[in-house]
Amino acid sequence: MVDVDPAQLDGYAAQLLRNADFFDTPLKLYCSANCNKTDDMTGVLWPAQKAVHLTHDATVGILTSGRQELGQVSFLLKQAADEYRKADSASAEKIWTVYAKGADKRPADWHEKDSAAHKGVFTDPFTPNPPPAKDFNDFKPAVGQAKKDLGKIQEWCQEYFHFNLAGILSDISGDWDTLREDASGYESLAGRAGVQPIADNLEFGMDSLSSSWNNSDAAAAFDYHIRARWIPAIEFLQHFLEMQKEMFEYVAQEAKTTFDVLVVAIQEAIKWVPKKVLQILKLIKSVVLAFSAGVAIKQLVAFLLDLKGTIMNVIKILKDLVEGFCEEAEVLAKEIQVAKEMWSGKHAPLVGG
Amino acid sequence: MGNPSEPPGLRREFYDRIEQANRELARVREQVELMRDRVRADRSDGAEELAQFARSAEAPPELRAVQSRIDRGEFTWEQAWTEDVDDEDVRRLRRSARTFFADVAAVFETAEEIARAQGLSSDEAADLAFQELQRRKEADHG
Repeated sequence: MVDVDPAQLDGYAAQLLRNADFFDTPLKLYCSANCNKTDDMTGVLWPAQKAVHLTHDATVGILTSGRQELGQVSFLLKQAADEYRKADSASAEKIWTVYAKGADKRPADWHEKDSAAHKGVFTDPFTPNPPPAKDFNDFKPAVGQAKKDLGKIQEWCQEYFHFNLAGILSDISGDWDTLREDASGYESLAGRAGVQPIADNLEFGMDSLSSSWNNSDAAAAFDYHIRARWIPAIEFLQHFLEMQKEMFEYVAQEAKTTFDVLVVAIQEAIKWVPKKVLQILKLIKSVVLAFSAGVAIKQLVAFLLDLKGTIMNVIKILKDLVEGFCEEAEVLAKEIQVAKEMWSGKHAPLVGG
Repeated sequence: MGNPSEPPGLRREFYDRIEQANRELARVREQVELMRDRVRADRSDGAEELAQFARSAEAPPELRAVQSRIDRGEFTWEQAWTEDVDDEDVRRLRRSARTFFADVAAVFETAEEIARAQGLSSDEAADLAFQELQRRKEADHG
């Protein structure tokens, strides 16, 4: 004989629905406002825009799935409560023994965990409310200054030496701080004010319900569905969001370090090139280059070769970083689907289980 | 698909790329250090040397004209070279300089080719390119 209080099932169903809505508001809205920024991602950073959008779309997709799937769990729990109320235990039991079956099989020895600590309390102890992503403003002024200084060097080179750095300078742009801001958004989504409250609320409500539904295969199946699928799936999602944060941050940090080296080279050039040029000006109207001017010319040429080589190497490093970022984003966008399969019970574990 | 029983992580390939970038950056940093050493080692004062020469009788008239304006405190040599000074003497000097600096451009172009083809350092490439230009100039003028 099933021991059940349908009102308690209704209570948890309402809590599940509220938590399903959290996936939409605030989390999905937050993700779109804070994790999808591509402002000033120009130059070498331009291809990263696609990866930022891909990562955002995959995250929004998983949050949408969370909303739908948890909403369905709530609906079916309410339906089971109605069937129990109509004294149709068989139908009520069938809902959970069939729906929660899944490829991820419940172990035969799975015992639902009963807790009487807060029986019948279906309020949410936690509410997701991620803080706004941090603003960063280190990179943009540095890029602006570097572009200005390089533009000056380019003017000199163009006017006096007739060679053009403009082709490579167009790559020196882009605000890498935007990646750090997106990273901060993912960090908040992963954190205590992001997706974690949903897992905590689900566990709290499951404890509140547990002692009101016993002697039932459906109760064990439902317990397994929440405790062994939903909660680990949300923890997986949390971890996944942290990985996204890590990926964005790594690339931005590496780019900043790389760019700082270029800034040093540019600062040296800004100081030194005019000095050499003034030395060379002494030789105006010489027909055959004198030895003294030769030294200055050779020094200037070697320096400009090094400067150009430095700029090109920095651009290559930055391009490689962006390429790696795009590849990793594609992989993560596929792997995040595991969360969806976990909470829908479609994920068959490869080991254990 | 990953296995949820193992915590997921960014792929090895991603970290390899970061390490590769760090290795390349270390090389670039060494290069920039050499550039800084070159700048630190050069104690010459381009503006002062030029001013002394421009005041001498051997200096061409364009140079002397600009120097006299500088001596009157109207602008500095750095400004005459690096800024947009609205002055006819400066413009005349710049026109003369342009022809002269074409030689620098030629050395740069040749040095870049040599460095690329022979894998030489910038100093070695600049040296060879300069010698090449001198040979050409001497041949042109018998």
